[in-house]
Amino acid sequence: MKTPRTALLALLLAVLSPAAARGADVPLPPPPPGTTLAPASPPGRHTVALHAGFLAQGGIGSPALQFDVGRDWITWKRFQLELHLPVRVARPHWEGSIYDASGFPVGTTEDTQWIFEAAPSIRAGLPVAPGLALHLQLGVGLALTSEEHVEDETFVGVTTDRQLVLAPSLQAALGLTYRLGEKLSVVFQPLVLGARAKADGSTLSALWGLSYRL
Amino acid sequence: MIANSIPPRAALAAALLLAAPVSGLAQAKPRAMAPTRTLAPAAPAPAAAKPAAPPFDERGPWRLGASIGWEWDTTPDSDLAGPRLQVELERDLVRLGRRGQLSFVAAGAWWHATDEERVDLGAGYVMTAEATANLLEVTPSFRASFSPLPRLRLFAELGAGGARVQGTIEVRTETPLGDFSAEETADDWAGVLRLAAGGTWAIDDRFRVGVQLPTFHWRFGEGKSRSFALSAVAAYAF
Repeated sequence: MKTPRTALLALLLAVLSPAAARGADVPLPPPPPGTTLAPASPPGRHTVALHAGFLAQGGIGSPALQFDVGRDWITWKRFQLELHLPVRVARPHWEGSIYDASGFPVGTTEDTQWIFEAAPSIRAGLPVAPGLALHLQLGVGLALTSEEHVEDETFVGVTTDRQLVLAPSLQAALGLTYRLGEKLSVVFQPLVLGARAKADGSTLSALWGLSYRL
Repeated sequence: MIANSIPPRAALAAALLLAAPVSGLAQAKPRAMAPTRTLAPAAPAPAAAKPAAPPFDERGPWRLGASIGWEWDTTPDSDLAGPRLQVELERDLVRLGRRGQLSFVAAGAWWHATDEERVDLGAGYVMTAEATANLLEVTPSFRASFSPLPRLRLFAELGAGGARVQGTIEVRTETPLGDFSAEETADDWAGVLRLAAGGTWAIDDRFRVGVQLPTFHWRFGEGKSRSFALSAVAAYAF
């Protein structure tokens, strides 16, 4: 009979309507046969980055390239501390003149340096906005400098001096990191100060980089 | 027995009517009965603080801008100066608080600088040295801006990039016997550090005009140089 079925349906609606309002509690359907749900992978703790910019030593500028490996360390108050190993290479090159006692030019000089620096560092990052963090990086390491000095003097000839120097170095950098995506970030360090023992002077660098979280 | 005596449509309607309050009760929070009490005279409400107006909404997160100005070389013993033209593309990245904004700027500029020195040696001998420098530079930077008023935006910008410099020095000597000249040209590459500050005013939701003053550049090539520029800016949002 229709009436009992209709009444039964109506009573069923009356009982189930509160449950229907909780539609968000419906669990996900099972995965297709032969497959399994992939567990959500936690973000990696290691990063690799490639930076490019310039290095200035005594006012002489040269292109600089830096490869950096980083690892998350600890969170201290609001600062996120990371361990980094930046390896940087730069090639300052400059030319000069040789003058005699009366100030008359009698020759030319040409200097070329290859600077390789590796300085294990600690980076303290401070998040200031979603995806944006300021950071301060300090490191102590070693610098290998290969220097070539060529003099071409009238009535003397060409003389070449080569020197290889391994010395400790200090680095300090101020910069910011902006997250482009889940794993990719852009790193900007407009002020990187460096000092090498047995060097002619301190260095100033500015670097742009892309960092990828493994 | 009861089901046989109730019409089916009426039973359905009754069930639906029953369902509505039941589903409402399933989500309703329990309400406590408010106690009755004598209300004291209401204290005057404190004057509500006027909220700061948000920045003026522009048409899009991108802005194409151009600036024209004048740049002076402030390196000791250099008097180079000339017009500077810059084209930039700006993209808003993240809001800094309620009225701040961080954006990325990719800028390309051309600076044509000249300097002339004239020395009269007497007896008809005059020596003139003309220096000309053409500089093309690309400087990506981050710009932080703040809007104290909805249409006014003050910004500070820090960037680093590279520049290509072509310099020419021509020395002319005028003598009673004739004129002589010698010219030397040199190319150089330099790293550039840029610091700028300025302000812009939104005319409407697309156009913005303003000034960039000052702009400082430090360039590191075969020597170190620094310069100072003042520019007028216009930008189009899309």
